[in-house]
Amino acid sequence: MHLPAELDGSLRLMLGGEYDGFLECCGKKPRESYRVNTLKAEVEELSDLAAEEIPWCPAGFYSKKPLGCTIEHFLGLIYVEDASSMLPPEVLAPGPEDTVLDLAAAPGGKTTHLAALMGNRGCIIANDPDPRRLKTLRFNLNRLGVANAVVTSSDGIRFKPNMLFDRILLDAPCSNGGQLRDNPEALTTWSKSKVKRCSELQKKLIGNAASMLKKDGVLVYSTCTFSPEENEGVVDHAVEEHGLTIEPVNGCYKKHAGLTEWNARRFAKGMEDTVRLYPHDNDTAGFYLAKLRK
Amino acid sequence: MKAKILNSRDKKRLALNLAEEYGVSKDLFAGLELYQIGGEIWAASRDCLTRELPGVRIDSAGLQVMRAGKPTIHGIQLLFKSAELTELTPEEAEAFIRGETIGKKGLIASYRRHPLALAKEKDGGMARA
Repeated sequence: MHLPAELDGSLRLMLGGEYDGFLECCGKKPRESYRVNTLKAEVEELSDLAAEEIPWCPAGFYSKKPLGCTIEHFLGLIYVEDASSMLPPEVLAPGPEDTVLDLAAAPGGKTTHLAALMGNRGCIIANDPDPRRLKTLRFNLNRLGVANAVVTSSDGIRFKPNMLFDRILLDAPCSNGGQLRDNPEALTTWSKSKVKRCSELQKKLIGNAASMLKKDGVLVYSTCTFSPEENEGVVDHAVEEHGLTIEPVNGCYKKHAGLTEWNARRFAKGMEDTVRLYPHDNDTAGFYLAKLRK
Repeated sequence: MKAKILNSRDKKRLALNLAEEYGVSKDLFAGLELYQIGGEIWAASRDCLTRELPGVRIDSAGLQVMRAGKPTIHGIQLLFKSAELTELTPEEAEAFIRGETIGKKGLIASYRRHPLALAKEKDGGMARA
């Protein structure tokens, strides 16, 4: 696998002695995984599909075979997604009475996961600005039987619903560097200028999200990129400019701590409590996640 | 078109009609509110219908469960587990989804005891309605 020189240099610096293992893992397809949709099925009744449990999601499993074209998928009994994508809803952990915002919701994997955790109660505002992606979002919500979501179509920076939320998920649009196993073509569009553009957008999005969060509310920020400018840099902005505090992400699985500094810049206190998942940690896509409280 | 929230009497009447026609439990809408837009009935959590979102473009709220007097496929798959189901093998279920006729009888086909879709009688068997 050939990485763009700047990305390669950054990853060597971040990973040190683990770099070769990372690169070897990136050359292989990630393990297929799925989540049982507990709005429709019990976890146990679909255990014949499972090869191994995913440690951070009780309804998530690595699968024995590809499941995207099965009847179980058609029926919405399962949602096929990378195991790393199951982490943000589990960390956000909404309750059945909560009002939740999923600010960049399409294609809907995480929205359907939130709905399952809430037992189809409470209310999720599932927003996405892209009309084409909205169609996929709507389809997935219907397929999985989600009845507690209001789908809205607004620019995430200007979205002002005149209400406050108990919990907000911001799975931000990013430069997609972490998707290189599934989609190596993503690397052809990767550039430092794209990272910078994404980082600027992400800061605006997290600022708007922070303004819609209730006092003591929880915001989970996630991306599928390795770039510190799009991860710790954005969380640092949320802490310094919007007064959010970082909370630890608990769980017994292999993970890396968020970077405490990058390019001679020291990030806000507690950044080591954010989570980096590299592909070779758990055989997933690359992922970053932070839990923040207002 | 403006949405009209169904009152408890209308909701109960609809549930009774579905129970009579499809053998589904009368409390299939428990925990859900229903609203009507034209010829469509949608189900949503109560909290979804009590949130005011001024100035926000709303695409949809909840799940469409009835259209033109018939339950939708997503409504059936979520709410009709208590109905009388005709269980299909994996091969039969795949053929049924493709639109082929299966040599069984029944109103609602299921797979793994989960409702798949409404069926109609065709050539002495059942096919997707």
